[in-house]
Amino acid sequence: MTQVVTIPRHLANVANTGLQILVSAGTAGAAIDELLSRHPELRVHLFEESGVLRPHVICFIDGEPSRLRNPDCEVQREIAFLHAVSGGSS
Amino acid sequence: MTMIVVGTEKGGYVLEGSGASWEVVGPMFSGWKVTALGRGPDGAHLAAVASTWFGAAVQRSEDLDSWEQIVDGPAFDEGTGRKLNQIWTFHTDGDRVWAGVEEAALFSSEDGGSNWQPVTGLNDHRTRESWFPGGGGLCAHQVLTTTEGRMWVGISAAGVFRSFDGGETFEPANYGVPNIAYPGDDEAEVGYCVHSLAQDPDRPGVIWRQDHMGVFRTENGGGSWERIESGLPAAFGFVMARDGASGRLFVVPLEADINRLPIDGRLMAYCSEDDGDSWRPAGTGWSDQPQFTSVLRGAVDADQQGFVAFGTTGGRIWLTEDAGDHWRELGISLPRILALKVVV
Repeated sequence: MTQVVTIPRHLANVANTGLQILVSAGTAGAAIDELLSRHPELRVHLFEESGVLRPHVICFIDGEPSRLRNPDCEVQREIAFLHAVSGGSS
Repeated sequence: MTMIVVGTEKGGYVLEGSGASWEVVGPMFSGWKVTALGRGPDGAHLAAVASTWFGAAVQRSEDLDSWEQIVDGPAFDEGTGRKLNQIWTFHTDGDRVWAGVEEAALFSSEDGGSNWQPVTGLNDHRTRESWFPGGGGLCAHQVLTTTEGRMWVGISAAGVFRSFDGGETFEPANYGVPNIAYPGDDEAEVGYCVHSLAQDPDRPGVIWRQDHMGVFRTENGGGSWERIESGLPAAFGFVMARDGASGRLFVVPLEADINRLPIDGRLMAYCSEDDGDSWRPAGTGWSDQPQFTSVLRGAVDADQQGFVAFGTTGGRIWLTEDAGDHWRELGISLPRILALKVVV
Protein backbone atom coordinates (compact mmCIF):
# COMPACT_ATOMS: atom_id res chain seq x y z
CA MET A 1 0.00 0.00 0.00
CA THR A 2 1.37 3.42 -0.98
CA GLN A 3 0.84 6.71 0.85
CA VAL A 4 1.83 10.25 0.01
CA VAL A 5 3.86 12.49 2.31
CA THR A 6 3.37 16.12 1.36
CA ILE A 7 5.94 18.67 2.52
CA PRO A 8 6.14 22.48 2.19
CA ARG A 9 8.17 24.08 -0.58
CA HIS A 10 10.79 25.27 1.95
CA LEU A 11 11.61 21.67 2.77
CA ALA A 12 11.29 20.30 -0.74
CA ASN A 13 14.05 22.71 -1.74
CA VAL A 14 16.23 21.59 1.17
CA ALA A 15 15.80 17.92 0.26
CA ASN A 16 16.02 18.57 -3.48
CA THR A 17 12.80 16.69 -4.03
CA GLY A 18 9.21 17.32 -5.01
CA LEU A 19 6.36 18.36 -2.77
CA GLN A 20 5.00 14.83 -2.60
CA ILE A 21 7.00 11.77 -1.65
CA LEU A 22 5.59 8.28 -1.98
CA VAL A 23 6.12 5.85 0.90
CA SER A 24 4.92 2.33 1.61
CA ALA A 25 3.92 2.21 5.26
CA GLY A 26 0.76 1.43 7.16
CA THR A 27 1.46 3.65 10.15
CA ALA A 28 2.55 7.18 10.76
CA GLY A 29 5.74 6.07 12.46
CA ALA A 30 6.75 3.83 9.59
CA ALA A 31 5.95 6.51 7.05
CA ILE A 32 8.06 9.10 8.88
CA ASP A 33 10.90 6.60 9.22
CA GLU A 34 10.84 5.97 5.48
CA LEU A 35 10.68 9.69 4.71
CA LEU A 36 13.65 10.46 6.95
CA SER A 37 15.70 7.52 5.74
CA ARG A 38 15.45 8.90 2.23
CA HIS A 39 15.75 12.56 3.23
CA PRO A 40 17.57 12.68 6.58
CA GLU A 41 18.13 16.43 6.28
CA LEU A 42 14.41 16.95 6.95
CA ARG A 43 14.50 15.60 10.51
CA VAL A 44 15.85 18.79 12.08
CA HIS A 45 13.22 20.85 10.27
CA LEU A 46 10.19 18.78 11.24
CA PHE A 47 11.14 17.73 14.76
CA GLU A 48 12.78 19.38 17.76
CA GLU A 49 15.75 17.87 19.58
CA SER A 50 13.30 16.20 21.96
CA GLY A 51 11.70 14.36 19.06
CA VAL A 52 8.39 16.22 19.14
CA LEU A 53 6.93 17.94 16.11
CA ARG A 54 8.06 21.56 15.84
CA PRO A 55 5.43 23.87 17.33
CA HIS A 56 4.81 25.79 14.11
CA VAL A 57 4.64 22.71 11.90
CA ILE A 58 1.16 21.32 11.31
CA CYS A 59 0.53 17.72 10.41
CA PHE A 60 -2.59 16.10 8.97
CA ILE A 61 -3.07 12.35 8.64
CA ASP A 62 -5.73 11.54 6.09
CA GLY A 63 -7.15 15.01 6.65
CA GLU A 64 -7.22 14.88 10.43
CA PRO A 65 -4.88 17.06 12.51
CA SER A 66 -2.19 15.13 14.35
CA ARG A 67 0.84 15.93 16.50
CA LEU A 68 2.32 12.54 15.63
CA ARG A 69 2.28 11.41 19.25
CA ASN A 70 1.14 7.92 18.28
CA PRO A 71 3.53 6.25 15.83
CA ASP A 72 1.08 3.38 15.43
CA CYS A 73 -1.59 5.67 14.01
CA GLU A 74 -2.87 4.15 10.77
CA VAL A 75 -2.30 6.02 7.52
CA GLN A 76 -4.52 5.26 4.56
CA ARG A 77 -3.68 7.94 2.00
CA GLU A 78 -1.60 10.90 3.12
CA ILE A 79 0.51 12.61 5.72
CA ALA A 80 0.66 16.33 5.02
CA PHE A 81 3.04 18.76 6.69
CA LEU A 82 2.26 22.47 6.51
CA HIS A 83 3.85 25.54 8.06
CA ALA A 84 1.48 27.22 10.49
CA VAL A 85 0.32 30.80 10.24
CA SER A 86 1.54 31.13 13.83
CA GLY A 87 5.18 30.83 12.78
CA GLY A 88 5.08 33.57 10.22
CA SER A 89 7.08 36.74 10.08
CA SER A 90 7.11 39.79 7.83
CA MET B 1 36.99 41.77 -8.22
CA THR B 2 35.76 41.23 -4.71
CA MET B 3 32.91 39.01 -3.58
CA ILE B 4 30.67 39.77 -0.64
CA VAL B 5 28.27 37.14 0.65
CA VAL B 6 25.30 38.65 2.46
CA GLY B 7 22.88 36.91 4.79
CA THR B 8 19.51 38.58 5.21
CA GLU B 9 16.09 38.09 6.73
CA LYS B 10 15.02 36.84 3.30
CA GLY B 11 17.73 34.62 1.92
CA GLY B 12 21.36 35.01 0.94
CA TYR B 13 22.96 37.06 -1.80
CA VAL B 14 26.35 37.16 -3.51
CA LEU B 15 27.69 40.54 -4.62
CA GLU B 16 30.61 40.67 -7.02
CA GLY B 17 32.38 43.73 -8.30
CA SER B 18 34.67 46.61 -7.50
CA GLY B 19 34.51 50.38 -7.36
CA ALA B 20 31.04 51.55 -8.35
CA SER B 21 30.13 48.44 -10.33
CA TRP B 22 28.55 45.52 -8.48
CA GLU B 23 26.29 42.68 -9.55
CA VAL B 24 23.91 40.77 -7.30
CA VAL B 25 23.14 37.08 -7.49
CA GLY B 26 20.31 35.70 -5.39
CA PRO B 27 18.34 35.10 -3.40
CA MET B 28 19.75 31.82 -2.22
CA PHE B 29 17.75 29.86 0.39
CA SER B 30 14.41 31.47 -0.45
CA GLY B 31 12.14 31.49 2.56
CA TRP B 32 15.01 31.16 5.04
CA LYS B 33 16.92 33.64 7.12
CA VAL B 34 20.68 33.47 6.61
CA THR B 35 22.09 34.16 10.04
CA ALA B 36 25.82 33.43 9.81
CA LEU B 37 28.45 32.94 7.13
CA GLY B 38 31.88 31.33 7.28
CA ARG B 39 34.57 29.29 5.57
CA GLY B 40 35.60 25.76 6.44
CA PRO B 41 39.22 24.64 6.80
CA ASP B 42 39.17 23.50 3.18
CA GLY B 43 37.78 26.81 1.98
CA ALA B 44 34.21 25.55 1.60
CA HIS B 45 31.56 28.18 2.22
CA LEU B 46 29.28 27.71 5.22
CA ALA B 47 25.90 29.37 5.62
CA ALA B 48 23.62 29.07 8.62
CA VAL B 49 19.94 29.17 7.75
CA ALA B 50 17.01 29.49 10.11
CA SER B 51 13.25 29.61 10.03
CA THR B 52 10.65 30.28 12.68
CA TRP B 53 8.83 27.20 11.40
CA PHE B 54 11.63 24.81 10.57
CA GLY B 55 14.55 25.51 12.90
CA ALA B 56 18.18 25.99 11.94
CA ALA B 57 20.74 24.15 9.85
CA VAL B 58 24.13 24.49 8.18
CA GLN B 59 24.49 24.60 4.41
CA ARG B 60 27.83 24.02 2.67
CA SER B 61 29.03 24.94 -0.81
CA GLU B 62 32.22 24.75 -2.80
CA ASP B 63 31.26 27.48 -5.24
CA LEU B 64 28.52 29.66 -3.67
CA ASP B 65 26.18 28.25 -6.30
CA SER B 66 25.37 24.67 -5.37
CA TRP B 67 24.56 24.16 -1.68
CA GLU B 68 23.98 21.02 0.37
CA GLN B 69 22.59 20.86 3.89
CA ILE B 70 24.76 19.15 6.47
CA VAL B 71 22.62 16.37 7.94
CA ASP B 72 24.31 16.15 11.32
CA GLY B 73 24.66 19.83 12.11
CA PRO B 74 25.03 21.35 15.57
CA ALA B 75 22.29 20.00 17.83
CA PHE B 76 21.64 19.56 21.53
CA ASP B 77 21.27 16.10 22.95
CA GLU B 78 17.64 15.14 23.50
CA GLY B 79 18.02 15.04 27.26
CA THR B 80 19.29 18.59 27.66
CA GLY B 81 15.89 20.16 27.10
CA ARG B 82 17.59 22.89 25.09
CA LYS B 83 16.63 24.02 21.61
CA LEU B 84 18.91 25.21 18.86
CA ASN B 85 17.01 28.17 17.44
CA GLN B 86 19.68 29.87 15.38
CA ILE B 87 23.37 29.69 14.53
CA TRP B 88 24.97 33.06 15.22
CA THR B 89 28.57 32.66 14.14
CA PHE B 90 31.18 30.43 12.55
CA HIS B 91 34.86 30.67 13.43
CA THR B 92 37.53 28.56 11.74
CA ASP B 93 40.85 27.93 13.42
CA GLY B 94 43.16 25.49 11.66
CA ASP B 95 41.28 22.25 11.11
CA ARG B 96 38.53 23.17 13.52
CA VAL B 97 35.29 25.05 12.98
CA TRP B 98 33.38 26.54 15.88
CA ALA B 99 29.70 27.44 15.78
CA GLY B 100 28.08 29.71 18.35
CA VAL B 101 24.33 29.23 18.68
CA GLU B 102 21.14 30.19 20.46
CA GLU B 103 20.25 28.84 23.05
CA ALA B 104 23.71 29.96 24.03
CA ALA B 105 26.16 27.17 23.34
CA LEU B 106 29.25 26.35 21.38
CA PHE B 107 29.79 23.40 19.05
CA SER B 108 32.93 22.37 17.19
CA SER B 109 33.67 20.31 14.11
CA GLU B 110 36.94 18.70 13.13
CA ASP B 111 35.79 17.41 9.75
CA GLY B 112 34.90 20.59 7.94
CA GLY B 113 31.43 20.83 9.41
CA SER B 114 30.05 17.36 8.66
CA ASN B 115 29.82 16.39 12.32
CA TRP B 116 29.62 18.60 15.40
CA GLN B 117 30.34 18.07 19.08
CA PRO B 118 29.07 20.21 21.96
CA VAL B 119 31.68 22.16 23.92
CA THR B 120 30.54 21.05 27.33
CA GLY B 121 33.04 23.18 29.24
CA LEU B 122 31.04 26.21 28.12
CA ASN B 123 27.60 24.77 27.43
CA ASP B 124 27.33 23.28 30.90
CA HIS B 125 29.26 26.01 32.68
CA ARG B 126 28.62 26.28 36.41
CA THR B 127 27.14 29.76 35.92
CA ARG B 128 24.70 28.70 33.18
CA GLU B 129 21.61 28.87 35.36
CA SER B 130 22.30 32.61 35.79
CA TRP B 131 22.55 33.38 32.08
CA PHE B 132 19.67 35.32 30.61
CA PRO B 133 18.81 36.42 27.08
CA GLY B 134 19.42 39.82 25.54
CA GLY B 135 17.26 41.35 22.84
CA GLY B 136 18.57 38.87 20.28
CA GLY B 137 18.00 35.88 22.51
CA LEU B 138 20.45 33.93 24.65
CA CYS B 139 23.12 33.54 22.04
CA ALA B 140 26.82 32.72 21.71
CA HIS B 141 27.72 35.09 18.91
CA GLN B 142 31.47 35.61 18.90
CA VAL B 143 34.50 33.31 19.03
CA LEU B 144 38.16 34.33 19.08
CA THR B 145 41.04 31.86 19.19
CA THR B 146 44.83 31.81 19.21
CA THR B 147 47.27 29.17 18.09
CA GLU B 148 48.24 28.67 21.73
CA GLY B 149 44.86 27.22 22.56
CA ARG B 150 43.45 30.34 24.15
CA MET B 151 39.93 31.35 23.22
CA TRP B 152 37.22 33.85 24.06
CA VAL B 153 33.49 33.48 23.52
CA GLY B 154 30.95 36.31 23.66
CA ILE B 155 27.50 35.46 24.98
CA SER B 156 24.57 37.86 25.26
CA ALA B 157 23.74 38.60 27.93
CA ALA B 158 26.10 36.53 30.02
CA GLY B 159 29.41 38.11 28.99
CA VAL B 160 32.83 37.06 27.74
CA PHE B 161 34.16 33.66 28.73
CA ARG B 162 37.80 32.72 28.16
CA SER B 163 39.62 29.42 27.97
CA PHE B 164 43.32 28.71 28.34
CA ASP B 165 43.05 25.04 27.39
CA GLY B 166 41.55 25.02 23.93
CA GLY B 167 37.96 25.06 25.09
CA GLU B 168 38.05 22.39 27.77
CA THR B 169 37.28 24.82 30.57
CA PHE B 170 36.08 28.42 30.65
CA GLU B 171 35.99 31.29 33.11
CA PRO B 172 34.09 34.59 32.93
CA ALA B 173 36.28 37.53 31.85
CA ASN B 174 34.38 40.79 32.30
CA TYR B 175 36.05 42.72 35.12
CA GLY B 176 35.80 46.45 34.47
CA VAL B 177 32.62 46.30 32.40
CA PRO B 178 29.40 47.49 34.07
CA ASN B 179 26.95 44.70 34.74
CA ILE B 180 23.61 45.06 32.97
CA ALA B 181 21.73 42.36 34.84
CA TYR B 182 22.77 43.30 38.35
CA PRO B 183 23.39 47.07 38.21
CA GLY B 184 26.15 48.11 40.57
CA ASP B 185 27.40 44.58 41.07
CA ASP B 186 30.34 44.73 38.74
CA GLU B 187 32.00 41.87 40.59
CA ALA B 188 29.31 39.49 39.38
CA GLU B 189 30.61 36.74 37.12
CA VAL B 190 27.79 36.97 34.55
CA GLY B 191 25.14 39.43 33.46
CA TYR B 192 27.23 41.35 30.90
CA CYS B 193 25.92 42.20 27.47
CA VAL B 194 28.83 41.90 25.08
CA HIS B 195 27.87 42.82 21.52
CA SER B 196 31.05 42.29 19.53
CA LEU B 197 34.78 41.53 19.88
CA ALA B 198 37.85 42.14 17.73
CA GLN B 199 41.39 40.94 18.27
CA ASP B 200 44.90 41.70 17.07
CA PRO B 201 46.32 38.28 16.09
CA ASP B 202 49.85 39.54 16.72
CA ARG B 203 48.88 40.62 20.24
CA PRO B 204 46.15 38.12 21.10
CA GLY B 205 45.83 39.43 24.62
CA VAL B 206 44.59 42.74 23.21
CA ILE B 207 40.85 42.57 22.52
CA TRP B 208 38.39 45.35 21.76
CA ARG B 209 34.79 45.07 22.87
CA GLN B 210 31.62 46.82 21.79
CA ASP B 211 29.35 46.19 24.73
CA HIS B 212 25.82 47.27 25.53
CA MET B 213 27.39 49.44 28.22
CA GLY B 214 30.10 51.03 26.07
CA VAL B 215 33.36 50.44 24.24
CA PHE B 216 36.17 48.67 26.06
CA ARG B 217 39.67 47.25 25.61
CA THR B 218 41.62 44.61 27.45
CA GLU B 219 45.37 44.22 27.21
CA ASN B 220 45.57 41.13 29.37
CA GLY B 221 43.30 38.71 27.59
CA GLY B 222 40.15 39.74 29.37
CA GLY B 223 41.59 39.88 32.86
CA SER B 224 40.34 43.46 33.06
CA TRP B 225 38.72 45.94 30.68
CA GLU B 226 39.04 49.72 30.39
CA ARG B 227 36.61 52.13 28.78
CA ILE B 228 37.82 53.69 25.48
CA GLU B 229 35.21 56.11 24.13
CA SER B 230 37.06 59.39 23.52
CA GLY B 231 35.63 61.03 20.41
CA LEU B 232 32.60 58.77 20.00
CA PRO B 233 29.18 60.46 19.72
CA ALA B 234 27.59 57.43 21.40
CA ALA B 235 29.06 54.44 23.17
CA PHE B 236 26.32 52.02 22.14
CA GLY B 237 26.53 49.87 19.03
CA PHE B 238 26.70 46.31 17.86
CA VAL B 239 29.90 45.99 15.81
CA MET B 240 33.63 46.11 16.38
CA ALA B 241 35.86 45.45 13.36
CA ARG B 242 39.60 45.67 12.78
CA ASP B 243 41.51 45.95 9.53
CA GLY B 244 44.69 43.97 9.96
CA ALA B 245 46.72 45.86 7.38
CA SER B 246 46.27 49.29 8.93
CA GLY B 247 45.43 48.25 12.46
CA ARG B 248 42.43 50.58 12.34
CA LEU B 249 39.38 49.80 14.43
CA PHE B 250 35.82 50.53 13.33
CA VAL B 251 32.58 50.91 15.25
CA VAL B 252 29.16 52.21 14.21
CA PRO B 253 27.80 54.30 17.10
CA LEU B 254 24.07 54.16 17.78
CA GLU B 255 21.85 56.12 20.11
CA ALA B 256 21.29 54.10 23.28
CA ASP B 257 19.17 52.58 24.49
CA ILE B 258 15.68 52.80 23.06
CA ASN B 259 16.15 53.92 19.47
CA ARG B 260 19.33 52.07 18.56
CA LEU B 261 19.73 54.25 15.50
CA PRO B 262 22.45 56.66 14.37
CA ILE B 263 22.19 59.98 16.18
CA ASP B 264 20.05 62.32 14.03
CA GLY B 265 20.22 59.69 11.29
CA ARG B 266 23.93 60.38 10.68
CA LEU B 267 25.01 56.84 9.83
CA MET B 268 28.76 56.48 9.71
CA ALA B 269 31.56 54.37 11.01
CA TYR B 270 34.00 55.78 13.51
CA CYS B 271 37.65 54.85 13.31
CA SER B 272 40.54 54.59 15.74
CA GLU B 273 44.18 54.52 14.70
CA ASP B 274 45.57 54.29 18.22
CA ASP B 275 44.11 51.04 19.55
CA GLY B 276 40.95 52.78 20.66
CA ASP B 277 42.49 55.61 22.68
CA SER B 278 40.67 58.07 20.43
CA TRP B 279 38.01 57.89 17.72
CA ARG B 280 37.04 60.07 14.75
CA PRO B 281 34.51 59.85 11.91
CA ALA B 282 35.90 57.36 9.42
CA GLY B 283 36.79 59.12 6.19
CA THR B 284 34.46 60.57 3.58
CA GLY B 285 31.60 59.45 1.39
CA TRP B 286 28.84 59.21 3.97
CA SER B 287 25.36 60.29 2.98
CA ASP B 288 24.10 63.75 3.85
CA GLN B 289 20.58 62.31 3.95
CA PRO B 290 19.24 60.82 7.19
CA GLN B 291 19.87 57.11 7.47
CA PHE B 292 17.60 55.73 10.17
CA THR B 293 19.05 52.26 10.10
CA SER B 294 21.51 50.30 12.18
CA VAL B 295 24.21 47.66 11.77
CA LEU B 296 23.90 44.29 13.48
CA ARG B 297 26.82 42.41 14.98
CA GLY B 298 27.26 39.83 12.24
CA ALA B 299 26.89 42.30 9.40
CA VAL B 300 30.48 43.52 9.20
CA ASP B 301 33.65 41.98 7.83
CA ALA B 302 37.16 42.99 6.78
CA ASP B 303 39.55 41.21 4.43
CA GLN B 304 42.53 42.41 6.48
CA GLN B 305 43.89 44.30 3.45
CA GLY B 306 41.94 47.52 3.82
CA PHE B 307 38.56 46.27 2.55
CA VAL B 308 35.86 46.71 5.18
CA ALA B 309 32.14 46.31 4.50
CA PHE B 310 29.02 46.46 6.60
CA GLY B 311 25.35 45.92 5.91
CA THR B 312 22.46 47.74 7.51
CA THR B 313 19.08 46.72 8.81
CA GLY B 314 17.74 48.80 5.90
CA GLY B 315 19.42 46.42 3.49
CA ARG B 316 22.17 48.72 2.25
CA ILE B 317 25.87 47.96 2.06
CA TRP B 318 28.66 50.40 2.81
CA LEU B 319 32.29 49.62 2.07
CA THR B 320 35.77 51.03 1.99
CA GLU B 321 38.66 49.71 -0.05
CA ASP B 322 41.31 51.90 1.59
CA ALA B 323 40.92 51.06 5.27
CA GLY B 324 38.31 53.69 5.91
CA ASP B 325 39.52 56.80 4.11
CA HIS B 326 36.73 56.67 1.51
CA TRP B 327 33.34 54.97 1.78
CA ARG B 328 30.79 54.03 -0.83
CA GLU B 329 27.19 52.83 -0.57
CA LEU B 330 26.58 50.24 -3.26
CA GLY B 331 23.12 51.41 -4.30
CA ILE B 332 21.66 47.95 -3.86
CA SER B 333 18.63 47.33 -1.65
CA LEU B 334 18.44 43.99 0.11
CA PRO B 335 16.30 42.72 2.98
CA ARG B 336 17.42 43.37 6.58
CA ILE B 337 21.07 42.29 6.71
CA LEU B 338 22.05 39.84 9.43
CA ALA B 339 25.44 38.56 8.24
CA LEU B 340 28.14 39.61 5.83
CA LYS B 341 31.34 37.90 4.67
CA VAL B 342 34.04 39.29 2.41
CA VAL B 343 35.38 36.48 0.23
CA VAL B 344 39.09 36.73 -0.47
